[in-house]
Amino acid sequence: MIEYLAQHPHLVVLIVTILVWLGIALFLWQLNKRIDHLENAITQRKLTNSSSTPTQTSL
Amino acid sequence: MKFVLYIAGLAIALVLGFRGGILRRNKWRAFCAILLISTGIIGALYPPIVGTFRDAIIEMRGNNPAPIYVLVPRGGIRLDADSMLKVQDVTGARVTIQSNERSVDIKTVMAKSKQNKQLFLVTPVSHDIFRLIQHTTAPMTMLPHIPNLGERARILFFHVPAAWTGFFAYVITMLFSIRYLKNHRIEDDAVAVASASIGTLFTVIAYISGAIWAKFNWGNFFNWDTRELSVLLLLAIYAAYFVLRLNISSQAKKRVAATYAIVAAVAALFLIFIVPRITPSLHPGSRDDSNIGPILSPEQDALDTTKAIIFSIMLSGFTLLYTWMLNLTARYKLIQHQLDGDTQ
Repeated sequence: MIEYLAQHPHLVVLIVTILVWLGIALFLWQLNKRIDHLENAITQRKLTNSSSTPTQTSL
Repeated sequence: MKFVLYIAGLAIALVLGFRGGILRRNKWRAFCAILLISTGIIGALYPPIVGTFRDAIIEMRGNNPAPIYVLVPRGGIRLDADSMLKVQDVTGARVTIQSNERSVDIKTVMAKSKQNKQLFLVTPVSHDIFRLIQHTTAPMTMLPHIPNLGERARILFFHVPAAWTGFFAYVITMLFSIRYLKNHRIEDDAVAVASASIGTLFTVIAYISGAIWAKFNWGNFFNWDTRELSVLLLLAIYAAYFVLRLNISSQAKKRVAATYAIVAAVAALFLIFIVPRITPSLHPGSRDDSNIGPILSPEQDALDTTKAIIFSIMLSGFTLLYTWMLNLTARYKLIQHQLDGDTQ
């Protein structure tokens, strides 16, 4: 395997590039999930605040 | 044909990226960006670069001679009485191949050649005798050898899409700045700033990849080339935009920054597409260059079909990656804005 990769150096570049790209993609995917979570939390907090605030009709 | 591929790739990216608004959550955008760029990387780096015996001789005369792959068709090999291989490549050029101690048995090469096309990694000894370094069965996809470029030709699939994405991001910054000036919506301002920052990131990636390529092809990282200087000036213009943004808090100052972004995009158009074409430059398409470069050349054989397909995949993938990053950055800025509003 190592001998084969030594004979084909462009495959080593391919493997390293794919690993770097998948690392970046995984980071962005995690970031996406965290931003989704933050947005949901903010929306939830707003809904909770608006429901707990006394309004004219409830008085 | 190649322009159809470019336009199709871009159309797919733009529809997937901007469908339903850039701030909308869309898992398909991310999924397709990952898939397209992964496919593009494999397409750009896996296929061997294959030339002819003539290309091998041209490489030998260059500054940094390297062995190259030559495609030998079925029936293009015969074993001579003196155990030398008489070989002809796909162009029909005939040569003698010597094997060195590291190579495999010549008879094995002959046996396999009856089944498939063979790739010979060769280095020239003279104009008609070559040394066989290794041989392998030809894969499905191969990229054409460009004399004096060799493996360095692969930069096309990374440098050009990154540069395109950088420019496209600056255009999107301009469009959303115009929308902000018209509607005064904070969402448009967030998208404009996010797009400018991602555009600068992609421009820097294109700049660094180009500089590394230039070191091996032109001798220096920086060659005082017109395009190198114009892009450096462009980066300085957007650095000024970010400095302006850092010192902004009020609504009126945001309008000043939006106006600046519109003017900067016009400058970007001038610095990327006009200045390098009206002045002498090392880049393709300059005033003293007879061709416009393989990507934009109207000649069909300027860019191989396999290369055009891989390039279109990368163009589409980079554009989708940009829309994904733009979506994340703009949403993050809006959350930050909401939290700042809550604490004030």
